[in-house]
This record gives sequence, C-alpha cells and structure tokens, in this order.
Amino acid sequence: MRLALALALAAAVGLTPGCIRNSARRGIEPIWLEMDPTSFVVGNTTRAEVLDRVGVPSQVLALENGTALYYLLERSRADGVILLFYNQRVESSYFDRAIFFFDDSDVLTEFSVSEGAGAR
Amino acid sequence: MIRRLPLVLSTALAAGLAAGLGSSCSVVELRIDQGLDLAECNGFKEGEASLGDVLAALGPPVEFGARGGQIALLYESVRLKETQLGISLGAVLGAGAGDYFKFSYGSSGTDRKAALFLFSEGHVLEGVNTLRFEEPFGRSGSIQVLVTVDEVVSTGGLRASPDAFVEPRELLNGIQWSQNLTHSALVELRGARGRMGQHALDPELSRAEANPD
Repeated sequence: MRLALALALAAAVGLTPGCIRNSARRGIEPIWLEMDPTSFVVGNTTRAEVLDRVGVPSQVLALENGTALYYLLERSRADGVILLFYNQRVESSYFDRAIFFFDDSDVLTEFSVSEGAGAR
Repeated sequence: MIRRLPLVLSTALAAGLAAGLGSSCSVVELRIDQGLDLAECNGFKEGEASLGDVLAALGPPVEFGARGGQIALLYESVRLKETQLGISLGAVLGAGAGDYFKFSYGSSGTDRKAALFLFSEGHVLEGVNTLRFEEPFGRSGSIQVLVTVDEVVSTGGLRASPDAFVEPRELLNGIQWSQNLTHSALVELRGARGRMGQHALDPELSRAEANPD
C-alpha cells in the first residue's frame, strides 16, 4: 500500500504527461495523384495540356531546348510526448512531386509523378 | 502513520527535488524523404540509361537544375536525431535567481543519403554519384552562469525548405540575391555551407562579415 502510494505520487509528480501532434501541408495541391499516369503520353501530350490539367507549377525551368515543370507538395507531421523529465518528438516530412519535361515544340519528352505521400 | 510518512514523503521529496532542479531530457527525430536506395541508384549505367529511365525508377527528384542542355537530378533522404539534456535551478530558486546556473548538453547524429545524376543534352546519363553520410553531426555541452543559450547544436541547415518554396517577392531583392537563388540553376545538398561557390556573393553573408556582432 505504501509502495503503491509512493509510486503513484512519484508518477503524478514526475510523469506529468502531455502530448504533441501537429501536421502541415505546403505547396501545390497534388491533383496528379487523382490522375492516371498513363494519361500523360510522351511525344503526344503538350505543355498546355499539362498546365490545364495539373495547374500552376511550383517551378518552371527554362532549358536550352525546352522547358520543365515541377510540382511540389510537402506534408509534415509531428508526434511527441512531453513528460516532466523526458520529452520526445518525431517529425516526418513527405513530399509529393511531379515533373514534366518538354522539348522546344512544347511536347512532353519525359515525366514522373509520385504515388502519394511517403511514396518515392 | 508515522512510519508510513517517511517512505511516501521521501519518494515525493525525491521526485519533487528532481522536478525542482528542472532537469529534462529531450529526444527529437526528423525524417525527410526516407526510402532512397543507393544500390538502385548505382545500378544505372552511364552512357546507356536515359532521363526517362531514372525518372521511371526513382520518381521525381528532390531538386533539379540545368545548364544549357544538360540536366542534373538530385535525390536525398535525411534522418536527424537530436538529444538534449538541460538542468537549471529555476524551479527551486525562482525565475530570476534560477538563471544563475544552467547546464545543457546536446548532440545530433545524422543518416543522410544522396544521389546525383547528370545527363547530356540528349538526356543520356553521363554520370551518377551517391553519398552515405552516417555520423555525429555535432555535440556541445555547457555550464552557464548569467547567460541563456537557446540552441546548443544548430541543425538548421538540414531543415532548410525546398527551393520551390522561395517566394516570388524574394526575386525583387538585390541582384546579388536573385542571381544566387539556388533554384536558378544550382543543385545542392541540404546543409551545404555558405560563402562558397554560387553563394560567395550572398548579401546576407556580406552583411554578417561587415557586422559580426
């Protein structure tokens, strides 16, 4: 009884608990996740079609013989516990990305889209 | 009752004393873009693999840049772990007097992976290099009197935001700054130190040198 009371008292004083959970999103809404990647056809799809379907990109890079469009969304999440003597927090950031390369005729030459948060 | 109190009280006092000393240990872990397979990256053959092959296998890169018709893709993953221990007498002596003594210790370790691909004007792989960096990032301990230090080990460089999030208004800053924005053409690892290469003219660094205080 004494031990239990002592432990309970120690726990109440020493392990006063708290917790953290937060999440954030920053960047372009990943419309491409809802699209079938095979709907983008190398040698056929144009830059105007990609802009029309996927929207305004995060970056546009001018190449010597074409352009590249880069879309990016960052998702971050943090979980943690706050105790009196010990705190722990784990923060993870995942990125959804899409990149499209076009030649000087604005026709798609290469592209790649991520498959969702946490996917490559 | 008299015999019971000492155990309860002594335990409470011990816990209270420890709490009163303000001792605390924090462990912070940061993970960015896990899952980069360096063996897969090294499997692409120079002169054979194309830009499309790499994109199809690895997905969109973390950063990319171009110079003329040549293209560079950078893939990166970061795992950072920080451990911090702090002790102060604030809870015992009060907020003012407690600031006379503080002890803090912090250490960080990283596990970083990166792969850089370079492509020719014909979008054929010219070179690939990979990096695995797994070691302590830094550590520091201090006993402070009258001084408060907030950050013991600086890991800000590894927490840098993607260049894609640079706001357009920054393009209206001085020409030095605009020219040195990394997404203009430069591909660089997180945490690359300043005052080198394309950052040599960064106006913030120039100001820091002119006003070291």
